[in-house]
Amino acid sequence: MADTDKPVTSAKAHKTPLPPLVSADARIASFAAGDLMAADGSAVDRRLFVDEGFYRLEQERIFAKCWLYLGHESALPEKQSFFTTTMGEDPVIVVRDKTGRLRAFLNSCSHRGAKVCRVDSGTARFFKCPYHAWTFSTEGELIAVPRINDVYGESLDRSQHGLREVPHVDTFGGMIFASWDPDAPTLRAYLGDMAFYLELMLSRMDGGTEAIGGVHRWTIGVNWKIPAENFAGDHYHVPSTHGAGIDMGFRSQLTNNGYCIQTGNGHSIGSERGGAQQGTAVQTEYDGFMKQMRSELVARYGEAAEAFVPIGVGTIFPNMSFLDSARFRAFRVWHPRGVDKIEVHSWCIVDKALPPELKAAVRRQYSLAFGPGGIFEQDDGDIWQSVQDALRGHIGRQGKFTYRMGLGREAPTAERYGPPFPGSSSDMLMTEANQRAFYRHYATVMADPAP
Amino acid sequence: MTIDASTVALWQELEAFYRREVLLLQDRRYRDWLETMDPAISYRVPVTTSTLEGFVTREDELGYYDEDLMLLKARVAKLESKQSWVEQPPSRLRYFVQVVDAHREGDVVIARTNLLLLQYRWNMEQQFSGGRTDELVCVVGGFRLRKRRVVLDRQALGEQGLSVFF
Repeated sequence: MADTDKPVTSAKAHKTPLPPLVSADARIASFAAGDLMAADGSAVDRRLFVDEGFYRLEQERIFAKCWLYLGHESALPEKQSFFTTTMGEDPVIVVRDKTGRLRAFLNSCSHRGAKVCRVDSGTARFFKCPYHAWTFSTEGELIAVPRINDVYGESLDRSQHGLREVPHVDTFGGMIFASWDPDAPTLRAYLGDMAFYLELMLSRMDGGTEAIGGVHRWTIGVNWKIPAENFAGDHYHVPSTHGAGIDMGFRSQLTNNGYCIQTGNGHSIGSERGGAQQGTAVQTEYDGFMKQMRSELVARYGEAAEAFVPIGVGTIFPNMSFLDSARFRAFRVWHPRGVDKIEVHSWCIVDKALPPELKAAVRRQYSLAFGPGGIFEQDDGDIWQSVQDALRGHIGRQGKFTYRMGLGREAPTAERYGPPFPGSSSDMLMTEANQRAFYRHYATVMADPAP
Repeated sequence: MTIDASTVALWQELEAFYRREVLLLQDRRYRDWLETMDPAISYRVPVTTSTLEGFVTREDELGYYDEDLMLLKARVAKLESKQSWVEQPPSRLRYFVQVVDAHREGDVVIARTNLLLLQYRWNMEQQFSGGRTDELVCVVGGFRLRKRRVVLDRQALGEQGLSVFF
């Protein structure tokens, strides 16, 4: 047996809050989980990124179950504001209804399936299907059917034909999430200890955050898990993939001083000391603002807390990632569009109370680095596509990816940074601990329920 | 528009400016391209939002490009790095620019051009089309670009790694 398949156990493992090991006998599609993944997540079968069967199963067990990020509350400023997006591949309308409540509906007519809304965003009193003009309220009720009595007589009960509603919509710190699973845990329970770190990122200033208007959208020819796991904790790629960004001074050379923290349920963050994107080129006033926030956090939690402004780059399982860097803060979703394609939606998130000129400067920094033409984004996307291209063939899909970096070095975060900081972390930045946690959780949600 | 001698001269000058720019861009001579700009350049390619009132672009919203001269220089410095993987090997680019409207406003010329750009990169190919509105300052021997606003026809970028200028 090759040593790449042997799980490494840490002396600390018994008290470190790691996700459950992959159960070797659990069934994932027609496979034993143990054939697809090492128990500790340190090896993952290449077929999981390219096989259509796994992709269909992900749609059912992940995208129709997990809480998914839809957008920021600031995009729905008034009653009957709406925007459209997708949950997995399912198109949805997210709307603030007549009473101000956030709701989400499948963007598909209950009659014969056409999209009832075909624009990105706006304000509407109703959604009228272009196919046969069935019309729905912002509460999802079927409110008008042309010639209803002539063509249906008494046989059509409108109350039975509303838009299909997403059963759970909730928010955390301005972030709107939804789940199709009627039995989903609460959003707060789903986020678990990640909520602590999200709060650090989202409540730096009174008044909270807002999304700058507009959405960056682009596609990448890659499986959705590749970018999701990258944002979960791949700091090791920075010196090579982003060598150009270091060469021109937008960021300093990466050191191994920092943390990767996973908080369970597949959620992770990681950051080098002082945050990503520290560099001498094209600076803004944001730096001074972050210093101020850092000293406020230290006053609240002690010296060790200094490392948590900004909190870094992370992924909320399955496909929402964020980047809270020394220069800007971005949210993004990796929407799956088939096993080998994603549509990225990306936003710049600012503190509402920032002065307008600083908001504009931060918006430009975000675009420069991580917009679709960003000097970091460019190279990630290009390389990720090349990963997917190399997996397509009969030989390319054989074997496993390796995630053995930093094995056995995880310990409770509180041991390193103090009691308020939850989850487990490693004693160095360049580790694949967060990817292992991502895939261990992935195996749990993908597996058939125990008989 | 009346076709008089000064109009003909203006269009000829503009076409000369844009012919040179096409060569600089498709040969990726970006340092020289930056030299065609006024130091106060505003270079913006806003995102387009589809609304019930039609397609909307706003100045305080996100842009694909949202640049002043310093940020453009930063982008060019990045593309010059040997580790700029998105352009390793470099794309082949073909720019087609057509002047569709132009008039003088004091010491500046406002010109609208159509742009078609074909890009062939090692792992993909794509095309961009859009409308550009330029504000050009008249200087001895030609123009300096002081403002460019490009509205692309596509709403979501079709491929990853936007690495071209418009």
